[in-house]
Amino acid sequence: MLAPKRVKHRKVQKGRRKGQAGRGNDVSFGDYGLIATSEGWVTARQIEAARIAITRKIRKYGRMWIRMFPDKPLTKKPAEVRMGKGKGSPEMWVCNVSRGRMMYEVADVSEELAVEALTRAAHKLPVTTKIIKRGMVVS
Amino acid sequence: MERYQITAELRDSTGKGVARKLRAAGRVPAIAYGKHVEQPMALSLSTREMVTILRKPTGRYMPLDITIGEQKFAAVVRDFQVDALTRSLKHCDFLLLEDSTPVRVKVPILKIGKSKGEAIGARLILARREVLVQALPADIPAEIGVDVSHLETGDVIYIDQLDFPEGVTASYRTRYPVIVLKAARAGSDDDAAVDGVAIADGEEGEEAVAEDPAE
Repeated sequence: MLAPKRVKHRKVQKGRRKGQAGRGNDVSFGDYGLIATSEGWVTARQIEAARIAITRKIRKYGRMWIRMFPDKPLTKKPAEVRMGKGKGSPEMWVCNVSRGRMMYEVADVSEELAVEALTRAAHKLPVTTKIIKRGMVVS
Repeated sequence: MERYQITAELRDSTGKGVARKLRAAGRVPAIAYGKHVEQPMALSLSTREMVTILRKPTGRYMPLDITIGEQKFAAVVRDFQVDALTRSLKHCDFLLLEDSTPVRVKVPILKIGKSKGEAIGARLILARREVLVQALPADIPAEIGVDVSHLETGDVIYIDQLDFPEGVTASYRTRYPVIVLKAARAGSDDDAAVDGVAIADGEEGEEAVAEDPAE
């Protein structure tokens, strides 16, 4: 699973996930991409599950890129522990995903296969998604 | 090749309020600039017309004619912005061209033929989808065709090995690969995928975690 190698702070505050992605919102590497249409935290496990879903579909023919990275630690208190006594210990890594964020890209596969692979990946993610094509413009 | 035509209107007001009103009225804000023009011109165009041009394969690369009032300018689409969610056109940048001045523009790469390597399972990778070239406006090609039929596994075509039409030169600082023919992967990634360790263990493969400046 993806995780940072080294961090400046072990625990961080919750933060808010509002607004649209100003950057990282375009198909930059592949031919088709999966963007988030709602915001949320995507865990490293979910990123990995979606990656496996895409890889199994496109096999060795296509290429894929992961355009998000879980760099935010989430903490959790142990079960049956009273409130207080400080913040819990880091439990998992998540990626802050804003609306419009490009999450996965695929290339070198047919449109049909790309859509199928990205749809399968979308089912593993906690955000609503949309599949877009490179250079797509609507009026 | 016949140039695309578009009609634009000059706009005297700028800012996000004005831009939003324009978009609501079916128009898109734009700007046109060039070395031979004193001031950049703030424009508005029909969104539908502009999108029709941008959807064409050569629309975003080839010079087009912009009619502003009674004046006609040759221009090329330098950049355009789309909404992250709806993918609707938000803004367009035009570079105004002068017939006698060479310009640097991006031109798409077109693969011609099927390589020998692909027949035995190799994968052809377009490392660059477009290349930066310098040419006079009249010489700007619609695409740069690259014949790949002679390529074998492991072969690479670099920018300086491309055949450009007369009057067109590649613009680059460091020599970079344009087309790469990679050997087929030994097997499926499925085993690694099942373990879920492909990226975590740094497996060499086509899957890459893209380095994003936003991260």
